[in-house]
Amino acid sequence: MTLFAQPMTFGALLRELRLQRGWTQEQVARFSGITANQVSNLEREVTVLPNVETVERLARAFEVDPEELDVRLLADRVEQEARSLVRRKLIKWALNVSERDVAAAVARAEERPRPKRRKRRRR
Amino acid sequence: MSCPDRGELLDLVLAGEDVPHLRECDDCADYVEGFWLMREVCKGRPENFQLALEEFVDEELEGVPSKDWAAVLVANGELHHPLIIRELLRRAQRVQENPSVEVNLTSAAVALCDASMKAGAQPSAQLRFDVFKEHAMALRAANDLAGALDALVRASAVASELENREQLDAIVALCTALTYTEADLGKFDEAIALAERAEGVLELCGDRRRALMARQTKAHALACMSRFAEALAIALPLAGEYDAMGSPFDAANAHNLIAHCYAEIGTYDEALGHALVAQCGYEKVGNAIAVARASHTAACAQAGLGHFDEAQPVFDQTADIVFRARDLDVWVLMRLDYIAAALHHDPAADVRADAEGVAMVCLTLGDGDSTLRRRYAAEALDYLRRLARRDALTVEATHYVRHFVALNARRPPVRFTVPSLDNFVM
Repeated sequence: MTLFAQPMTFGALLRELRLQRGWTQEQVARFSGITANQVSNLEREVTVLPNVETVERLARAFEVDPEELDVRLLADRVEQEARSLVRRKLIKWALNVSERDVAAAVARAEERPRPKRRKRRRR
Repeated sequence: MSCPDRGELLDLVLAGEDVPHLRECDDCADYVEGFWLMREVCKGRPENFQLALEEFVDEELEGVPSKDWAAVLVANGELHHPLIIRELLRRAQRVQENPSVEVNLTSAAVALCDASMKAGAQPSAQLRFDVFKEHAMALRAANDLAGALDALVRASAVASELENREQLDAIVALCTALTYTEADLGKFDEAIALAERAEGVLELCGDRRRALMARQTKAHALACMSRFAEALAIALPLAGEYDAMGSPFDAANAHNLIAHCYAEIGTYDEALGHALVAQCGYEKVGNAIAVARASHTAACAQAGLGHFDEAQPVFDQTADIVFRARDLDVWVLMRLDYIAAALHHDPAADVRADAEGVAMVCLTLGDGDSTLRRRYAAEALDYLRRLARRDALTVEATHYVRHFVALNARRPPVRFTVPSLDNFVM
């Protein structure tokens, strides 16, 4: 199943996963360790954004990655991977310049750009 | 076209100046682009660069067994860079409790140095010196003493290329002295001479910490020769000097040595005090093996004070920890201490298996030419002989005497001393 074929709210996705497995809300509650009332609230979107622990419990019950259920977690992971790529690119750059030049860049990495100096007109 | 100094180039870029050179020189333009990446990653915290480097090396070595790290890193020419070599040394420092992994890391650093030299990209002489020295100390910890001495020869050769050659030579002398005090070499007189020479030079160079380490090495060598009073006279002021310098691990080492000497001369209350201080110091730096060694010294002191029942579980636990870490020379010493303490507490104690274990380890480890290890073997065999006599096993006692004689007939006699706690009557 492609979970992200079309954007879905958390509640709609939860309901779809439950129906695909032919489970009742009570069964979801039992398998995930949350209350049936919580499941109902999530599906009816009375609760729109569950906390991370609830997402992880439901993900374990449905045997999917938490990121597949909650777009916030997916966004976090994408952001982390993007940052990791930037860090890797930086190190690859550093391995192509001398150690001294890397040190010069590290030393200036925290300096703020200075405003451009204006040329004074001579009178 | 000549390029500006990279630091000056960045100063111009940060000042918002137009730098026409960047439009003409791809190298400098790439450098500035990398600098902006650096700013993005560091976000005002230069240590983030180090974290990025660690993550990069983790990814490169992920899933690779530690014995293959050198081959994997050397195979990728992109990684032949001082930054990677330094990172390997940093990791080696962090895994000192695990000598085999430490050796794999320093071996990888040596291999990268050699590969870089072959490729013509010469790492600095200071870095090569550090690599060979660290490799030597890792090999020493793993008890590959010939390998350690070879690495020190390479370090010494590199030292001659550097301005502070005298200081570096003294550091090599100190490392050699430390290696000479290991059981498999047992060259204590040479170790003392080297340590004294190193101390004088290091003191002159203002390298106070290493000068103290040289003094401690001398004290350690004296203690190995059972000259405990002389060792104590040197070691006692060291702990305070290390403390004043803010070197908790070194201070703990000094306290442990002092405790060991006090225990050997029978001043158990002093020994216990210093051992507990050492234990505390090692706990602070999180070195489990060192904690075990200090706890063992404390157990010896407790046994000496007549509290053997309290000491016994500590003896067993600490020996287990050291055995699992494959530090067998220390394990042998610990078991000999235990046997002496157990028999002192109860002359009928069943320590035959312990004495057999010590004899077996001593007689099968190394090349058999270690004076110190033969001394330990002799000590264990002597215990076995006496246990056999105690239990009226005449034939067995004769066997151990024969073994003892055979062990020493082929070589000069060992310098055997009676264990300090061994005053039980059979």
